[in-house]
Amino acid sequence: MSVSEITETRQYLTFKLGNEIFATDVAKVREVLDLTTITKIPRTPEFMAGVINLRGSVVPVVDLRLCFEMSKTESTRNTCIVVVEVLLDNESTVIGALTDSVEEVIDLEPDQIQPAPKIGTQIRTDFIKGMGKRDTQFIMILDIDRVFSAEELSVVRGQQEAGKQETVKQEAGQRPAGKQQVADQQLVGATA
Amino acid sequence: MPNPTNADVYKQSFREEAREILVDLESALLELNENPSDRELVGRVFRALHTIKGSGSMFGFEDLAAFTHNLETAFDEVRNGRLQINSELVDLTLAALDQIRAMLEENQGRAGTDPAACAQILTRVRKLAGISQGPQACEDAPTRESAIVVAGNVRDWLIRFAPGPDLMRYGANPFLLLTELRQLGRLSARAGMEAVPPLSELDPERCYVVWEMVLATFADRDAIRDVFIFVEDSCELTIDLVPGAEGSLEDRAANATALALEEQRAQSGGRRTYDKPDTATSIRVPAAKLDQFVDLVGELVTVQARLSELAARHGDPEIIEVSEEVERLTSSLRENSMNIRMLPIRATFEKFRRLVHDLARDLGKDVELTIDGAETELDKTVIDQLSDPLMHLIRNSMDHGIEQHDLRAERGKRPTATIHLSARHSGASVLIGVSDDGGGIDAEAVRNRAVEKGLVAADAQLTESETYSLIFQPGFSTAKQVTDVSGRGVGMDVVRQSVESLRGSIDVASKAGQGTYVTLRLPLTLAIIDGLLVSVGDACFVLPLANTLECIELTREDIQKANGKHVANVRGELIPYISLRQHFQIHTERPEIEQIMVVDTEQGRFGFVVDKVLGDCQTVIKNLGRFYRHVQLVSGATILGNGMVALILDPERLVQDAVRSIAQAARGRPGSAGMSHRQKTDCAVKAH
Repeated sequence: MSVSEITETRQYLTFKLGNEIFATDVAKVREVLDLTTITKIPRTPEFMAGVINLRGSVVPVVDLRLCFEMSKTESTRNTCIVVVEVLLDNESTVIGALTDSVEEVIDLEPDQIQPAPKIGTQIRTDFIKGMGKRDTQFIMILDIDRVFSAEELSVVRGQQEAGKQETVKQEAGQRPAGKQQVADQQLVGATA
Repeated sequence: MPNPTNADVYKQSFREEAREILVDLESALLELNENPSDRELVGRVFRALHTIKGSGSMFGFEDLAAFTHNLETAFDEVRNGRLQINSELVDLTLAALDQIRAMLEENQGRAGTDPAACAQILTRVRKLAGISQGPQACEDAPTRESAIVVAGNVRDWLIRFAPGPDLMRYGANPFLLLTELRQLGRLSARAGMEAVPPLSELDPERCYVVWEMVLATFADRDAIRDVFIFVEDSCELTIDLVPGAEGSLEDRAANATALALEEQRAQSGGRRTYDKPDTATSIRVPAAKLDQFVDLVGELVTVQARLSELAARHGDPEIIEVSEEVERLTSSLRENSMNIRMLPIRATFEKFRRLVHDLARDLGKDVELTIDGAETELDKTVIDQLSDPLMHLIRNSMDHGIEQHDLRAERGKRPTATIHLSARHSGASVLIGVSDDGGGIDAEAVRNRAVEKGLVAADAQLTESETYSLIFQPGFSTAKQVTDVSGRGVGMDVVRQSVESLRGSIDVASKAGQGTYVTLRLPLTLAIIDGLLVSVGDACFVLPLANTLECIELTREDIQKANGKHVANVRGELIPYISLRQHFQIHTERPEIEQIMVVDTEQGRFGFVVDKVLGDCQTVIKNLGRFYRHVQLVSGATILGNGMVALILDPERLVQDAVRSIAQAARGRPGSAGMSHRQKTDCAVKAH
């Protein structure tokens, strides 16, 4: 969709989720933290991992693997929290993203980036800005604003009202949390 | 001269100051309406107008200054006893204030106002004040001045004006001052350049010049001094009668002098009460700076808690001593920083005098506003958000509550109705009351309307307060027709939403034919709470201390005795409880003895079962941010001494959530069937 927007060389921070390499515009990244204690907020969807204490302020953390229909992030020595600044409803918000490991900062020329394939990735194509190619590796460049966009997060509301924590838990592995939520909301809407 | 950005800053601070003055002016005017003979009040109005005019022209709001000048003239006439205060003058002045306000909001005091309305107001004010001049004379200040100021005879004054070095840095312009002086009469001025240094040492923003002037004018010493009112503190100013001139005029001027002296006394007395405390002991600080300060203090508190913990762990008496010292200082620092944000609610209350006055006129009702507890202090954030709900409540009372004259007479009530605003502290909350002595809420009508709208079932049993709470539903109105004032059913919904967003609650009481009493219960501050730190498994939570009543033990035996029902027997009273472990799905081993925190909520007493009570704590509330904005059970988070994040629970919402899920389960809705089973075993709370 948005490859046309990428017209100049930019720096990207790459990180791994499982075996796949992802990247985000380095301008969006505030800092990278080692994994610390995450406080889970009760009765929120599982992809919302909780909040951390970032030098005195409370910052929400999202489990990116769950956003992308992978299994829950396991805590390892390499697990990192990438703190990004994103736009939610046109308001700048700081959010931490759980990743399996952070790799490096790379330069990508516009001609190294291709449009995202319509099929063949595990991830919703509208989350991907483009596919970068380096050596033989493909790098998925994320549209990080969109990943955390209000639309996706508004599911929290449905979650709260329907109180269907259990269902999500059981199915989180197989079905996208977002879709599940929407389905739940519709169900409740129809019966309420 | 100050650079453009500085000028903007000064303009902004003038705007803020003027807005405050306007509020004060408005309440003074309304009081004046009641006591037209109060000279003190006239003086207050006059001074306020003068301040707006003076600083307005100083900061480039020329139109505003010219406009205000006419009002000032009228009140000068009143001050001199040549004009009587009447309701026409008060209403005119109020209308004029609205125009001034509009001028203020516009950048240069030009656009945005209604020139026709301005001209009309001016014409009427002039007519009232007996000033015979056309509207175009507005720009022609000197002639107008000399036509008006007839209080004394022409005298020569010797004025020596030595501005402080920082005069221009504060945004004042000596030229404007001289121009203003010139408007008072014939002025000859000489500038003393003795102090001007060589060019190499010259600071272009410093004022080195001293002026010596002779002014021939009708005006008295005070009028001249008034010109310098804003720079008086930072300059040397002497005003003397030119010797000789006084002697020859003495006889004729005797009257005027006596009048001037009396004026001087009244003014200096008045200034002591009104102006001095503001200028001398308070400074204006942008709210954002204050927020930042409070945030930093919050972080300091967190670090200090870590220090205490470290000190306790190391057990070194010297470190412990330092840490205790730091703890003491931090806690007083925090208290102080919280206090800075506390403001008396007076300004908010006073603002409504105008609303009541105008509405009463529009509705043809006779209503007075009484105020109680205006000195009650509240967090600035709370005060800012209180204005809207109060306005809607008052409008509602005026339109629906208070009856028309004839009906009041029929009911044997005083012809003048009363709306009473009150504020008082109650524990960690503030109670804001809005009451009227009108007809009260017709519970039957509310109920019928609610049934009609499908909000409640026709056969539902509702308590009185449940019925009244229906008026806060969106779109709810019993008014048969929509008026300018109310009837669309929006206002009360706004009240509910604002109060909820402030974590407050509303209570409505009403007696048919006698009046309605609405009480808003609001937290004192939004930034900090007293809480009890509790733990469930590894997770820590904070329960607000304000509504926590007691803490009792819960053993496995107790649970068995209650046959699995989640109800505890507290000295004979059955209290339903919610197990946080189950409600929050915390999968850790349950301890042998748990603790029930008994909490007072709107729905009655409830217990929350936790593993351990760790102690009380004062916590700085951190917002969870936009990302978690839909989370309801948790009102915020706080950072503990060990750097962990603890969630602050919202007991009201928790109970509502539990009751609602039980209620849903009881109705057996298919949509909620999935969770009803879990919820039912989770907590055996009986829905009310």
